[in-house]
Amino acid sequence: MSEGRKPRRRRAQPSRSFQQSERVHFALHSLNTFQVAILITNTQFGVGIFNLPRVVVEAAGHDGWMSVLLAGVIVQVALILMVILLRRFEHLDLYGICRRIFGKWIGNALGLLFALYCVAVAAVVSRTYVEVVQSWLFPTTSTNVFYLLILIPCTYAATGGIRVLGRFGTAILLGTIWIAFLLIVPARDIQLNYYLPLFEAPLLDIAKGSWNVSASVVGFELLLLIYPFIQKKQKTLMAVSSGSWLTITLYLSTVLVAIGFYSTEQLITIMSPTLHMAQIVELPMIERVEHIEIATWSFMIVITVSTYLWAAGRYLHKLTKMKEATGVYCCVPLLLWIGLIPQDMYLLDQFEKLLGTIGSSVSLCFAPLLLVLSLVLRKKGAGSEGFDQPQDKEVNAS
Amino acid sequence: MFLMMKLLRTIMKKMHNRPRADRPDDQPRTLPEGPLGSFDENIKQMKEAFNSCNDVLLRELPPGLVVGGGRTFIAYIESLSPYQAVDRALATFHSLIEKPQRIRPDETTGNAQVLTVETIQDAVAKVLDGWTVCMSDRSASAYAFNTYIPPVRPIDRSETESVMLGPQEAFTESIQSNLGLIRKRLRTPQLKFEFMTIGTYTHTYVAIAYLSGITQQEYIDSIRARLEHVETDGIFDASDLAQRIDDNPVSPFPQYHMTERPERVVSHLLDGKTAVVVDGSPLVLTSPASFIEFFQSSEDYSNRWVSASVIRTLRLVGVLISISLSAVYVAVVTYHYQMIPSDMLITLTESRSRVPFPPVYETLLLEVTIELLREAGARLPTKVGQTIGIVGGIVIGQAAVSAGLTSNILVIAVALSTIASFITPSYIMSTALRAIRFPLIILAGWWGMYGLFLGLLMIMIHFLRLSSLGAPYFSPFAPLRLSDWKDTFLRVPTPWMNYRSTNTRPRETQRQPFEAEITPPATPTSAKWDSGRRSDPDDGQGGDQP
Repeated sequence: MSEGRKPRRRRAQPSRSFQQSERVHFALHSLNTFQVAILITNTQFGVGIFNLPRVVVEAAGHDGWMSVLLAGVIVQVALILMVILLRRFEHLDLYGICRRIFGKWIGNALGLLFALYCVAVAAVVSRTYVEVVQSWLFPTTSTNVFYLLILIPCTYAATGGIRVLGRFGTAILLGTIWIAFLLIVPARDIQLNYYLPLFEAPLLDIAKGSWNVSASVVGFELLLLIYPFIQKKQKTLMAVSSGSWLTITLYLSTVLVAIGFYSTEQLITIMSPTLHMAQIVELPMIERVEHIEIATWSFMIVITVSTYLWAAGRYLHKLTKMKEATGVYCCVPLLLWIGLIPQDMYLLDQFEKLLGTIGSSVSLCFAPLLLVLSLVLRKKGAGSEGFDQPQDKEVNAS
Repeated sequence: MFLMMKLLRTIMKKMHNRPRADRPDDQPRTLPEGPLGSFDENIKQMKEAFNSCNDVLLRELPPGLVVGGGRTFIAYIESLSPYQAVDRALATFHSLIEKPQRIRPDETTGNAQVLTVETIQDAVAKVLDGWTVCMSDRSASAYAFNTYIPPVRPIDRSETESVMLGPQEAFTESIQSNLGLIRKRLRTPQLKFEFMTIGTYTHTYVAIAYLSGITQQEYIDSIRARLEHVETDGIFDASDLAQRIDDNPVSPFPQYHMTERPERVVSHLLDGKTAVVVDGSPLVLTSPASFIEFFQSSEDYSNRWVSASVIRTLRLVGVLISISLSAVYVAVVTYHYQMIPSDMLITLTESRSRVPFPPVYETLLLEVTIELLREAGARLPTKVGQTIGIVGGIVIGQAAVSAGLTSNILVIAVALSTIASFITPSYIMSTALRAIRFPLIILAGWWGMYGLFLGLLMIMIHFLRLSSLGAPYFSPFAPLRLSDWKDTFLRVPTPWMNYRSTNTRPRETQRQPFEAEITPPATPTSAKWDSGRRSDPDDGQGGDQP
């Protein structure tokens, strides 16, 4: 019997000592592949999903779900172009690339525009969420107080840097994944004939629907800023694509369930179909689950806003060599001010639409434009600008 | 928050009334430096140094008493060195002077540890360490003998971390016995201790312990550097020291795991952590710590894995209950009563109908009452403490409801959250969790679920930002390390725990070979074989042989 015994499997483990040379590169390598994917998903998820089924159906009828798929494909193309651009400039981020292509002044100005855009998106996302909270949970409380309140955790997370944001994304995934399971309840009452006939809407309408979706998938353009922090750069495309397709899958299932559960005619009359679908869920201990859903959704909002805020603070960090956290603190008053401009629903809606257009154009067109320009102007490589070198401050055991 | 802390510090600095500059002649005299002088000078300087220290015995022995034909001077602290030990020291000193060929200083001899003393400062330091310093006019150098036998408490059961299963002995306040308790469980030369003293007045002994083959050098360097940078007049406890070497000193959460139990420390050392043993404290700090460690008890590993996993999950659910249950009550009753099922709503409204306050004040009242009871019970001796329990549990709970101050359901919620906070094995963590409950209740009272969830988010972000010795605090959850989940909600069977936890990045990652595959299968045994040839199980595998 002793002959038949398997040999002792003692796997020799190499001692994992972090040598000095490794540690320097360790500085910027703070996001692993999983965290990148989750961060992209989390920044894409915002307030858009509440209205998404209605917005899609308004444009493309009951074929609206194809718009979501089409949007996923478009995002994928944009992501591929982005990764090509980023590979070309080794470990530079968007601000660095702008400076490299256009020189100091124009590059900084473009960077400033992008930072302003980030702050504006952050403001609109948080402000819209506050509006949702008010209309569903607290019809009488002051908007400004709620807006101020949500900025506190956003600032706190953003000042922690990308490492905290990456971990935050993971934690949020664990904390909010249950919301997806609420879809099961309306999914049991789906009427299949609501989807039929297929391809009724003309292709142009589907494309129009995709344009409506694109405001909800905005967020992947932050890849341009988190790229220097990714551990395994060769897996970037895989990570961000899986993140974006996770978003698309969740959007698609929401839209599919909404179309099947309501009908096209009914959907158009509902302001936020996603929340109304949650309303029909009843647990033995809790009625009105959507109260908890909306409150839990603050997690998603906070990570979106804080990532955008961090991206804006990063501009100041690069420009003036101030600390990242200080840069974020400097952006907060601006964020506060922008968010307080639209004082009624109508203005906010206008603002939202404007930002949606800008966001979609920026995230879809900015990277290809830069790529083309860099090809034309024959700029590539990391350059020798000091601010892109890893800094000792960022070295942290993790 | 950061700015507020900064402001507070500035105000405190400004408010501190600096004393006027001392007059030069008021300055305390410093000890003379340099080598020892003549016998009489030395005696004079020692007496000057220990002026008015009446517990320090400075005795000049008459000629010929110890050393033939020479005067002798001895100095020791009566309360730290019992007279038997001093007697032995004198005998050793005698042979040292009379027969220098038989005994030499700076070696541990048969019955005493002897060191040569070079300067007066050395001599004073040795006396304060509890050693006996002897000098004679027949010899130019002075000698110090280890006679340190401090007053200690015997090794006892652990009060704060009591367990049903597993070893019962706990650390005491003496660093020697604590180091002994660790060393006797880790008989390997790889277990290293480094000593240092901290505190300009207390001169507390502190030892850093680590396993050289496992612990990452970064952590050893880091903890050493942090301890070296502590500048204060005194430390009184390990938890006091921990707050001076924290990554984030203003955080409400402990960033060093503190335990009274030697086998916990040993298991942490084997996981690649560093330990800090402080003299005068029964707590040993281990780091890098992670959040989940504060919910692991050494009993979990003695218990079978199923029951251990159930208890572990219960503890983690207990955290959620203890920080948020009363806040959820406040939020739901104040703003979101639609969430309550209609049958329950009737009961709730009935029980709340007599309460005159808004729910947030009602809850705060009851929470404060319970905290008062708990604190009173903790401070009082056991017998009176029981009375407090009865008074609190029956009289206040029942009376508060019938007097219309609180509702029945709130009493249940608050009691549940208090009990849930007690199942956290780490006392320091459970008090921290109880403390953060109050801001959450206030947030829920003012802004309902929205405020509550933002508060929970703040706590979560705080956890994510925290680090212990540079390692992420919320480790197996975020950053997600699925291989470490084996010891979180589940405590998987021991043969499956083949790898150490990755949070400490141990040099040697494997803990054991894949034992499950190589354990010889149990063989049917006859009584004869069993009693006869028990020591050679390999032989018996062939079958029943006589």
